[in-house]
Amino acid sequence: MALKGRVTDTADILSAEEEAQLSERLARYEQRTSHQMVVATVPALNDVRVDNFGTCLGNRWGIGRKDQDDGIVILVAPNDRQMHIATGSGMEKTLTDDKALAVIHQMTPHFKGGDYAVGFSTGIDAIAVQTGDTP
Amino acid sequence: MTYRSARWMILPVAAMSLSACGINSVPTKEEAAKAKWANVEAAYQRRADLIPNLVETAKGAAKIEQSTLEGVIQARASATQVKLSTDDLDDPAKVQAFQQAQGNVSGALGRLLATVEAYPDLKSQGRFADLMTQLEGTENRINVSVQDYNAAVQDYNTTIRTFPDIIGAKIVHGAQPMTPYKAITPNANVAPKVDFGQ
Repeated sequence: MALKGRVTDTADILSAEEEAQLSERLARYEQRTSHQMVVATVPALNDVRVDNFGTCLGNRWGIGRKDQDDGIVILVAPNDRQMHIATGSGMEKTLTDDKALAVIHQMTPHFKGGDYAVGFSTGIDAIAVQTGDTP
Repeated sequence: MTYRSARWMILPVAAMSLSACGINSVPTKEEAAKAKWANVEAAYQRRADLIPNLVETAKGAAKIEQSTLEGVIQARASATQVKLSTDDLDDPAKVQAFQQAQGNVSGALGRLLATVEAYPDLKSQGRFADLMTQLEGTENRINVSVQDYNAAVQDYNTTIRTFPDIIGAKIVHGAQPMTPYKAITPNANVAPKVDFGQ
């Protein structure tokens, strides 16, 4: 699975316009905080645990600054109906797993309604607030 | 004159064959694997740091058998004693001892989590639920770091066993194969899955 940019929508659940908007938001986030956050969607997890998948993607793609390991990957598998927010080791004390889970709980209602773009931007804003950016 | 130029010819050839037989690739890959091991250790350390809080919270909120709680504390305490330096990664016995010690912690944690299942109040209590989420995240980090480490070990082991790097590995570095790691994680399925289906 190749990194396509700040938004890698392999499951094809976002329109080009939505992708552009989210990418722009994520670029702004990095500009303000120096942290790097990306969105990824996959058509199938193929029995890989979603958390495992997300962390592996972040490592393989090298999200975040190398010396800080402060990357964030929001991974959604719409067909498996699962998602995970993976954090680099330099980020896990700021965006702890329980805070990440709270963010997920804010996102999933939108996903249930099929509104993926709103779900993502809600999540990105919530993470931004937790990690030193404004919405 | 002919003798002189012939001698100059040897140098580039020697340099070329050095780079081709694992003089450089062997230590680089070894360092890569060792660096990955540091991540494994860090993930286990993170789990060790979480345990006292988890046990305290469980103790305060539910009548969980003392032996179950002590089992976790003791397994953690003895695992902290078992250190594995990166130089010992080629010693299967030492790797296994570390694996065993961490496996005991996983087992004890698994028993605690199974017990906690009987206390829905505790499970949903904010502080405890947060710690459980962090524990789950830590188990994930352990799994991923172990996979990364094993991949690096495999890469290194393949290199030192394959011609021509085997020459550099055997003669220059005395390279020993490193030991892959088998992690045992507690009741991975007990951990709540984030499902936005229903």
